[in-house]
Amino acid sequence: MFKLTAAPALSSGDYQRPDLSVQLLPNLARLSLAPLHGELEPVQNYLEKLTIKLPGPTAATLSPCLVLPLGQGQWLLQGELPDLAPLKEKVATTDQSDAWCGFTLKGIKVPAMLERLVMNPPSTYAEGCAVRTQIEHLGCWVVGLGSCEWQILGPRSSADSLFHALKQTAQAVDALTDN
Amino acid sequence: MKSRRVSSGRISSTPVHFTFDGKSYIGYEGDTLASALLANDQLLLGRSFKYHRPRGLITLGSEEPNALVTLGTGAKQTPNTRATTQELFEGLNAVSQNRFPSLKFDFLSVNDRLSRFLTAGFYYKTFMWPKSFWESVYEPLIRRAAGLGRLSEIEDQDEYDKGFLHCDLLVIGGGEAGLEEALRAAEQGQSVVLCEEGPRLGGMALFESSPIDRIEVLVAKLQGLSNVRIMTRTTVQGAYDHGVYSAVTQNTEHLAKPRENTPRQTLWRIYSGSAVLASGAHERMIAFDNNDRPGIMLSSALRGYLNYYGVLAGESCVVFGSHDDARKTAADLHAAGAKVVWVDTRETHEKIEGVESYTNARVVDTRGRHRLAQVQVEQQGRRFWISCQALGVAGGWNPRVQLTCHQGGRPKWSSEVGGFVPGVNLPPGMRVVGAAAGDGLTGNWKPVWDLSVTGPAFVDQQNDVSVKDIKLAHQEGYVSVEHLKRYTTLGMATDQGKNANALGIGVLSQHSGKSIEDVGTTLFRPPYTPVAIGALAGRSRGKQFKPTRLTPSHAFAEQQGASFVTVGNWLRAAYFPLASEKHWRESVDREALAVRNAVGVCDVTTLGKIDVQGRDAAQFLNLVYANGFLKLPVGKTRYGLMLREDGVVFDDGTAARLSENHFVVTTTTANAVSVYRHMEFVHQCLAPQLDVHLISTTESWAQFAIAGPKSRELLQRIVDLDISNEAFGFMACAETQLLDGTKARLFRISFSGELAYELAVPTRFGNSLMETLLEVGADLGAVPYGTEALGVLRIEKGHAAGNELDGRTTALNLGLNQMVAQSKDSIGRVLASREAMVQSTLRLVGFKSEEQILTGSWLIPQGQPSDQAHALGWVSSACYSPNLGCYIGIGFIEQADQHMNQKVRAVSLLDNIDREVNVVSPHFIDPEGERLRV
Repeated sequence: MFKLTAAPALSSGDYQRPDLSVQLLPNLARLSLAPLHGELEPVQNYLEKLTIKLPGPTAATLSPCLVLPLGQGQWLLQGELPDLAPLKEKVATTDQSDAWCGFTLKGIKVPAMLERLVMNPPSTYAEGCAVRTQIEHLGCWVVGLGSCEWQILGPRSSADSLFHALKQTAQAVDALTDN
Repeated sequence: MKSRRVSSGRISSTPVHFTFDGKSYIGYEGDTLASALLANDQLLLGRSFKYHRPRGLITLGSEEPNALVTLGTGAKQTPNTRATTQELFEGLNAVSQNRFPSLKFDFLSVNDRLSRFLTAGFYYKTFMWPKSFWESVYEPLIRRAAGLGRLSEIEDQDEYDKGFLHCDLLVIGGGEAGLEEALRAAEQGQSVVLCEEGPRLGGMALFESSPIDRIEVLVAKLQGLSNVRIMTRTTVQGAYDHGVYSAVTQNTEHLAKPRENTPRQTLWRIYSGSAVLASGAHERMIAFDNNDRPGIMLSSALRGYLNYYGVLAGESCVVFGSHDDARKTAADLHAAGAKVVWVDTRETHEKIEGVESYTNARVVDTRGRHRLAQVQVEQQGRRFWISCQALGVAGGWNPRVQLTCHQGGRPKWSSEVGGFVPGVNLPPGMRVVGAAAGDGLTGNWKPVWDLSVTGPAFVDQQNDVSVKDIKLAHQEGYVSVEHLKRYTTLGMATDQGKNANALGIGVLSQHSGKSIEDVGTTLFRPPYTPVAIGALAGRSRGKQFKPTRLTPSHAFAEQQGASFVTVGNWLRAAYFPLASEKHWRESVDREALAVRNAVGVCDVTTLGKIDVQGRDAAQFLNLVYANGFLKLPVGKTRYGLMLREDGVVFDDGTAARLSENHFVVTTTTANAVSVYRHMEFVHQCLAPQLDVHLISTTESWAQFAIAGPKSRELLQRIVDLDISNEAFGFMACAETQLLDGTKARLFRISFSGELAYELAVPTRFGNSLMETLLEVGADLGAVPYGTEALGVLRIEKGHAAGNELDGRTTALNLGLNQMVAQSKDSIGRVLASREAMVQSTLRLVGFKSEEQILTGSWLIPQGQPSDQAHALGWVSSACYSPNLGCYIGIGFIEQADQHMNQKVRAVSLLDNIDREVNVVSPHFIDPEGERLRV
């Protein structure tokens, strides 16, 4: 009897230096959520009871799970997902766990990295903010988690290319600050 | 009497060793290559472009036209490096350019003697005869002679970066005016980016003899502010729309051994709220005979090398000018102990004690071969020679207005300043301050342009354009300054006219009798200084030119030795060659036969998948598809035809109804993004009242086609679902799971025309599923198949794909007109009914031949000329059919009924092919669709 095994988005995605690290996120549960017409308020109320706020454009909710505004009336949840069974008739949900790959960037040198990768102003990815942008032609999210930590979400199929871009830029920033 | 270092100036006293043309020298930290060579009495630095005349430096900075050298070797070789801006580093190795065999002795200096034949535009009048020589003799010769430096032709191995900066104020130029602007804005709370081309802030003040305390105070204040970003070695290259500027930072050009992974340069895109141009000004030459000898330079350069680098260019110096600025040079040289003669074209000037001076006088000629030896002065009809080693020329000042032109603004002439100053149409948000605006440049300037007698008197030293060339161009009718530029190449070299433009315009004005305002000026365009192609490419080169998308089974395919093909950004397996197979056709034929006779597995993840949910999901699909979806039962899939608004076919795919309000739509790989975008547009803009929500799930699900008569048998070993024909008929769909509990979706759809399914699992299980299907199906003869066999199978079946949905074809052309429902509204329905559309007789047909049919061939009737007027249609897809044992194709032909079972010619004029093909039905295999429904 067969048993399928799960493969990660990337066999290895790690860059560790003092003041700058890039690490592949483990596979996290992700879900897109869109309240049906007229159901936004009940959905918001239900989630707020669980301390989950549906953020507006450019904002991000950081806990208890990450919530990003995907589009008009649509959000992406990541991490410890809430129980949405009570909202079954009120929301459209789609599993997005395998759609994205994620990287955590940590360290005081990360802003120098991000200004080489992200064309948006740094204020758009400050703590509690999220911006959907392009990194080396890849559509990505950049999320400010605070305390010199950011998260980047990109398309899973391009995990290799995205990590390559992140690692090259990290190496460049390290080299420039050490010369 | 040599050029030598008389003090440390404002640079370090740490020695630095370097070579030039194989000879070793010592300079100091803070030197440029030019200042270090000058200090070592090496004045001869290059040979001019056309006449190969000996040349030396004339400026202090990036406007230098003559002192161009090649640095480095091999992949590091960088031609046309300006010695005046190249910072010295330990071990620097530079060679001169444009000379053979050596700088001192250059064979092509004979061109100088032939100069009367090599005037402006000579190549328009020569190289005419014989015609046979154009490509075989003249072009190779001219190409060899063209250009100054040489590329190594080895790929540049350096890394280049890009970056994005945002600020309230961009200050361009780190001189006193720029520093003050930056500080004022920063103290008001604005975020400021300050870009300075050189390694140090201070601008021209650094090169004067007066103290620089004020500069140091400004710099210290700016360095202490967190809202100021100071970027030295950064040249702002261009002004673009909406306050966007480009800038290039040189990261490693000054380093002997940069750390590994350091990008050589960084190209910045700077988004600014506003900008201040404080780029200063540079001095200008005067045209007199032989004004280009090594040792002749701008007056400000002569004193700059003394004050900043501590280099006195000669024990005896002449300063010649028409401007007060010459006095500063004369005074500084005299204070340094040089014997100075000051020649002034003006009637009076304020004398300097100890300096011999001549007013109402001018320099009219010079002598010296590899370095200046004498200058000839004319005063009130009397001429006399003065021996000297250096001549500084102060012909007036050119404000650096280049960036003000980049949005179409035109500089205007200021007779007070004696130069072109910024015009009225500046890039939005830009102000100009300091010398760049003409401030402080008046200096009692007297217009003096052309003092030539017999020549040559050079205007553009880099392109060897002389006064004679300008006169000739004017004489030949090139009276517009734009024509003057192109005909003579004045201003077209790497310095882009920084030294030559204003002087050339002045000379033209003098000889044409027109005012300078009437002569006008050409415009400057980005970049301000040469930019390496690598900097523009950044990281987008080689494999990283564009990102790659890997299918979930990529690891498996690589392990199998698959041959890959790029499909957009995707890397897909084209075929899986066995070790015994030597030609791709062997692999593809084998795979296609295996699918028809047993079972094959193909990764079709790349096709777009869109999740459509909501109470109005079915109504929404009814709107975006030409055919109906309202009544599609749950658990069924339907082929969907999507039209553009103009009625032309946009895409095709399937929509599977998983539940009452939940559909999964598929698209072609190529249109995954555009269909999703289109659907979102319809959702948000055309039908916002519909309660429907869309999200792409292309990445989320790994999807595999399992096709062939044994596909059911294989799948029954995998899925936990009754997939008998009765329980799971043709076009059925279901959310299910595999026997190991992995969640899955199953669709009974076929692209190949065989009994077939598509099985989807979450992407992370994709590779494992591919391996499992082939392992479990080994006894059934299961094989992996790639995009080539996929293509053969669908052509055999007669399925239209991207080649047929080419943006011109309609449902009628494709034989799918009955799918455009007239009883409901849908995107494209109305315009698909236009007269021209419904009257088209173009139809999809098939072709058969014993000879290869070429995709793209035009269809021409027998006995007719092969031209557009006689073309009946074209072949859109073609292949060899291993199942039929012949070549087949599908395409479009006018009056299909009349041509059915007839012969036409498939013609490719590009490939010189003209073959007979039989016109047949496009459905070569199982036209009744019986295999699909078993």
